[in-house]
Amino acid sequence: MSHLNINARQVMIVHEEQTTPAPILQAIERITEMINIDSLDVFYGRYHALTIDRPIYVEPGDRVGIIGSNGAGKTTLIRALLGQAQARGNFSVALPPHKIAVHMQQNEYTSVLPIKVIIERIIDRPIAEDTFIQELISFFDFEKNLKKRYKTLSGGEKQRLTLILVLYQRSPLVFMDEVTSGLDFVTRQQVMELLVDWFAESNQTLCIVSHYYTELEKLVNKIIYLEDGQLVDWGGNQELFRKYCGKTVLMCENNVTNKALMSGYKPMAAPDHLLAFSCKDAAEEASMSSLLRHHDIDYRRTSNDIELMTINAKKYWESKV
Amino acid sequence: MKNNKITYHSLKYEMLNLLANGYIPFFGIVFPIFMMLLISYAVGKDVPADFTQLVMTKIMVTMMMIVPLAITFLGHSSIYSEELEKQIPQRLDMFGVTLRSQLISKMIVQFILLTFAMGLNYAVGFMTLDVYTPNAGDFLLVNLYFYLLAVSLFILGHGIANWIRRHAPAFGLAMALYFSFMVLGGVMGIEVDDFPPVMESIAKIFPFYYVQSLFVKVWMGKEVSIMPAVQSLIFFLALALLVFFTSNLFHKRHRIGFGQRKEVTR
Repeated sequence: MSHLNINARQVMIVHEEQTTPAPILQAIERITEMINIDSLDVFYGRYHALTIDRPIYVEPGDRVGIIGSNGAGKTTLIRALLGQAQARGNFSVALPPHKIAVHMQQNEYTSVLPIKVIIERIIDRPIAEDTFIQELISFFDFEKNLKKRYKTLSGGEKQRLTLILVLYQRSPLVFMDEVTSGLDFVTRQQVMELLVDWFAESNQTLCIVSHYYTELEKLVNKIIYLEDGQLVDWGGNQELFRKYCGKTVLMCENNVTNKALMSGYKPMAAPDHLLAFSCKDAAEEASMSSLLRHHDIDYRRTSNDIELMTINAKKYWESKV
Repeated sequence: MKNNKITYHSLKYEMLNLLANGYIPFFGIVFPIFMMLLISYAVGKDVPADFTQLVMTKIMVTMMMIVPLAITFLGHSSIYSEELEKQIPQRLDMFGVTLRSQLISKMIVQFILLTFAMGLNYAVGFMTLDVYTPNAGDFLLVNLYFYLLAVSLFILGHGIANWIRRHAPAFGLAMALYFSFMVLGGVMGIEVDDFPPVMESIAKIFPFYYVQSLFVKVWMGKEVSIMPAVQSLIFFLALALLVFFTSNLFHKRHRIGFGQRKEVTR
């Protein structure tokens, strides 16, 4: 993987200076909240697809994971913020839709033309004359695909193409919806690693929808958790984990032996194959760890597991509802 | 950043997109020339020498009608409906390539290709057939009619694609209309003079009828009134505009389509 020796934010500012009047640029620099939602309702005909009834705000530079089951309203939220779904409420996005970079679930291009022609159409100049697109192509290891037709690209290559074009927009705000859906495990990890590397060097604001929580843990610092078209909760990763799981959690395999061994501790909701125990303080964590080590049980400690947080957040939310 | 510009890259993309889609080079360039040569060969043997030039001119001018039908109507509706089905225009719009820029680029390359195809047809016709050479005014008038017909057909094809937004049914409908228009223009074996009365009445509503019945005479320098052709062309253009605007209205009413973004702010 090549390393990008360029700060994406710096590039964005240079680009904006070329095309955006100074007052607008200064206004973008002064933005304190990229997205601010006090209330939001989205309807598809008579179907009430999404309700957000508590304030949410996304600050510049935030990396927000939008998570939830299928039909939870994740894509609907993005479409509402982009003005592509009929939404009511009191909410704002700091940038107009055409200044936001968007990677939607479905990203198709004409299947009969070489990728080079498609890219040059979108960036409106030859690839050879644009160092930023060259660096993006190199960063995503995409050089060998430029002469191919879109229909001959693999799933991962198709996603990379859209990522290149989305990041080329140098927008302060980026939406990504299921970037890795349909990809095999290895390709998915490669794409996510590239995104993690990219955003580590950029202070763009990112809102990303994904089902792959392990990969999100490396990328995002905030979570918006939706279920059944409603907001379960939102906040910082650590904040939500502490709220629903405690400071730390120890997890081991769910079997009869481990259940008996840990019977003195109250298990929390966890995936079926795991037993999970919240540690209320360091002493309790040390005691549990010692017990597990003494019996040679493999275990894992976490203070940032999104999947575990969502399971417990959902359980709490359902009990309230 | 929105890009409304028509540039070399936008035109190159649309031109390659047109040519790579197979339908247009075949139906718009190869097929009319093939039909012109085939029919002139089949008919030519039985035509008395005094009438050869009239018959060959009629064949060449009539077959020319296939070019705008195939390129700006069948070709555009086919390609654009496929793009709409895959939401390609919407995707490009999100990258800042506006729908306006996409549409204007498409239209420009359609008319560049139309001009090339018509030029090629004329070149082959003049080189291989014994056709009448018109004066410049008559030549321009006939071709102005073809261009206005092509504009109307482009709008109709666009409207059909925009209404249906799925490639297979849009292409099926466009293909059915393409052959119907060719029949009404006397291209498919029965000349307009031989139409049964009912069919003639229907054919006269559409501008295709007048290519063979009227503009062949214009080409040959005869004094004729082109008002019936102008009236039918206005009617056809109005019909095309109706389809075009209602397709936009339909999609605006039923959902927020591409380019119809709605901002809600505090």
